[in-house]
Amino acid sequence: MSTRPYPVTDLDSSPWWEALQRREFVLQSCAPCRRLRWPARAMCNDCGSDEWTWVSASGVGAVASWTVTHRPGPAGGETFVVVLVRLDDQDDILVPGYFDGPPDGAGLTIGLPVEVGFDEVEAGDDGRRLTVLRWRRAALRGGGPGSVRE
Amino acid sequence: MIAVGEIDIGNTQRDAAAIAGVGHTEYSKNSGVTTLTLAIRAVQAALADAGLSQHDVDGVACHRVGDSVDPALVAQALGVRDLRFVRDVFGGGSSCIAPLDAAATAVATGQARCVVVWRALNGRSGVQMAGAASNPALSADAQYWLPYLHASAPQQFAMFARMYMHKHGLTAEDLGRVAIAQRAHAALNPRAMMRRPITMDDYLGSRWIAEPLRLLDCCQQNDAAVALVVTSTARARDLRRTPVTITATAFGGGGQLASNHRSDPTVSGAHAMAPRLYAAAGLGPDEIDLAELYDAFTPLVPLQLEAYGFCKRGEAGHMIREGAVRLGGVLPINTHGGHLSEGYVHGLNHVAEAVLQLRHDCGERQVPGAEVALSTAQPGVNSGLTGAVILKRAA
Repeated sequence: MSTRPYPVTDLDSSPWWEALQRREFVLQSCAPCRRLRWPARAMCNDCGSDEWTWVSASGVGAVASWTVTHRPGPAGGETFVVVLVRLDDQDDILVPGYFDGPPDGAGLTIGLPVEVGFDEVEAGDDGRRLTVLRWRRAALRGGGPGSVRE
Repeated sequence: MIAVGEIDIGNTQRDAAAIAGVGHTEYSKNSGVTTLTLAIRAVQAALADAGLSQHDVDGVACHRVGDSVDPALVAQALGVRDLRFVRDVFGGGSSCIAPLDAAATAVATGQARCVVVWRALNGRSGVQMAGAASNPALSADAQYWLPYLHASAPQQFAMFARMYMHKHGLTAEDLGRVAIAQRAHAALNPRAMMRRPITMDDYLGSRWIAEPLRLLDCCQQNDAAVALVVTSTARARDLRRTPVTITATAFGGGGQLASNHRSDPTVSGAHAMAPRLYAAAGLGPDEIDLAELYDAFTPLVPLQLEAYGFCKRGEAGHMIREGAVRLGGVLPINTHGGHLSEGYVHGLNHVAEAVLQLRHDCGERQVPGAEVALSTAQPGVNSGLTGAVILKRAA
């Protein structure tokens, strides 16, 4: 039993969720114009094509925002962090997920370079295993420690 | 700033329809009645305010999500024999101007003569809006947030708030000044749920909900209904109250927080929409005497001060610090206390307050000589959609 709902996937999104369960982070790539898109849609909102392929995302990006939720009720006092990550692949794709860090968000900054990771949680009334995104501070790249990109 | 006349919008309905009456139920934590009864009571109050009866009604319009009532039931309960217009809008704060716009169009085009518009919700004792967004049936994209237990309204707006505050150097104290100013307004409003004045210490000491939002950044959750009576401006002139005309409406938006739509989520749908609204109204932000800005959470206020051209982008914090948005300032906002302090009727209590201000019926909190008001929907930072109305005291 978990209070975490199992995601209600649909015919557009189920390939993305299935890939995630294999610990693959994918995006749609428009066949004619190569524009990337997420969440899943049946048509490119730029060129209008309905032909696409699923491609592996780079898995790197930067923290665009984060929240620290303070849980009410019996869990009062507990906090958890959710980050929103802007992908390096395309700057209008922002993807939420957990963050591999302290539950009060200490150390997070906007622009912090991150890379994709995965986590397994229990979801739904039957406590099924669900793989979700868990972003982590990027291994050293370019600018070195403390490097921040807006 | 927004210059008038940059856009050519043929608004054939400018000031053709008017709000002839407004009605409220009590705001409470437990109404003890159904949303149907709340709707009927608010509609009856609005009709009495206008000097009309239920038998004058030939159109119904509402918006709803979470807790709600079917408009067909309201029409039946009111005894409408020949229903000539109905509009049932799906949506919450983003959609609150749509039923009013539909009603105005209906009377301006002759489809109906008297349309009642309402929002009724047992938002405290029934379905709490803070969690309503967690319903995956409402948006397919909720599936990407729910597994992180991140779908409640405060969480969604907190994600936006941090980006917006970071971009413009907005501080917690700036948000606190919004909450304090609106509470000061609510102290002058007998209808308001929260009337005890608050200090910056109260604000900063209020518990975290979802950082960077505290309890006092968040709106009330309550049971209440508000209704408006919309008829032609010509007919409204023969009724009991000074008519308030619907000068212009506009709609916009289209992006979700996580989507291939825009690279900067701190720019809302209202930013693109506002110039169209002013063009349709034939006036600019300098001519607005007061603004009722949709305020489910405090950061939406500075965002909208910028979006609607009351200050330059990034300068709302300064405007708030200068006291411009308080009663007596150059642009009083949320004169009833807003959703933060009067109560939460999903944007419609903002329209009702604008009407009362333009009728000069607001007693201690009256903006002297108010002639033109803006009332807005959620600016479209999360759910995507937005809308707004400019209202005028009839000459």
